[in-house]
Amino acid sequence: MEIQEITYRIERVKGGDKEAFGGLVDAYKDMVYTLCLRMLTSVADAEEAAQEVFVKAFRFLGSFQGKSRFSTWLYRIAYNHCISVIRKKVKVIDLVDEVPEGKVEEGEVDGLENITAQERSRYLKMALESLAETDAVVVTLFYYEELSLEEISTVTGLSSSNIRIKLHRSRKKMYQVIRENLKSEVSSIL
Amino acid sequence: MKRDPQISKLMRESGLESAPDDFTSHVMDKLQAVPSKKPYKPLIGRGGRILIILTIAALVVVAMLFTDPAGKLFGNSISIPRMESRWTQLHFNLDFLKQIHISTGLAASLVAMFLLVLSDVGLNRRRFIQ
Repeated sequence: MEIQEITYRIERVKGGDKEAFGGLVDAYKDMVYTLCLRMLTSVADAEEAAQEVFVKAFRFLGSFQGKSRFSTWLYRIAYNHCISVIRKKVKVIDLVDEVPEGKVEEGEVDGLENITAQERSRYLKMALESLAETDAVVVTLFYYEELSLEEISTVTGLSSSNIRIKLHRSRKKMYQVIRENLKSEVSSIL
Repeated sequence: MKRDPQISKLMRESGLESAPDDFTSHVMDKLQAVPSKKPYKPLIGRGGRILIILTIAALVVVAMLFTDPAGKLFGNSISIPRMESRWTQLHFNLDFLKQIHISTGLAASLVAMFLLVLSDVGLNRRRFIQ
């Protein structure tokens, strides 16, 4: 959706037109749902949380002044909402760091081009699921949404240096998981 | 920070998770339960507010610079002091307003309007803007 269209819809919603919010939901539902799923891992929880995120966004749209992008503002609501859901479930977040420094191969994974796109997607999903909740979100915002470190910092409230560390650690972890899966795939074929 | 090209490619290729088909309708159903807030519209618009501020400013300037200590406008006196002496003998006197004859009804209307402006700025703004 174009920026002008988003701004127009926001103004209409602020003016009391509830239906105009539907277009904003359509435009961002997949991204918000993905972020929620990456953090909460359960499909049912993610769906409920994503719906709540949009309801919250609607309630507080009056406070959105357009200083940041609407998407950044929305992702921040999603991130904070998921954090509060996780806290309610007494899950320990961000303490998962199973990657021992220096023991993981750096660099790209060979052989990914030889498997189907569907399998690559499956491996990526497994790699993302192996990350801590906040790390998976940071990776998604950085690599898929192509947000800058500053924008991710606005969404998550984490410092840029912390995000940098998370991205580095996540990349290593993801490559490790993908390599392991590729190896087991090859050995099962042989 | 540089993006890892292989992870970027994998992420692009995989895309996002798809929200359920009825997602938007569920959200819109939930929104029906949210009471709609009327947008804040000031009682007096931007132009009106500027006019009020300018009128008050003009009143203050006239009261300070264009009246004598007794509160009479220089326009009524024979000798108007030079501008320099006005700056050195600054005073604030609104007695010249007595020279303007306004009815009690008009005065009451002006007071009522002033109270409306105050309530508009204070109460309404607090109610509508969260």
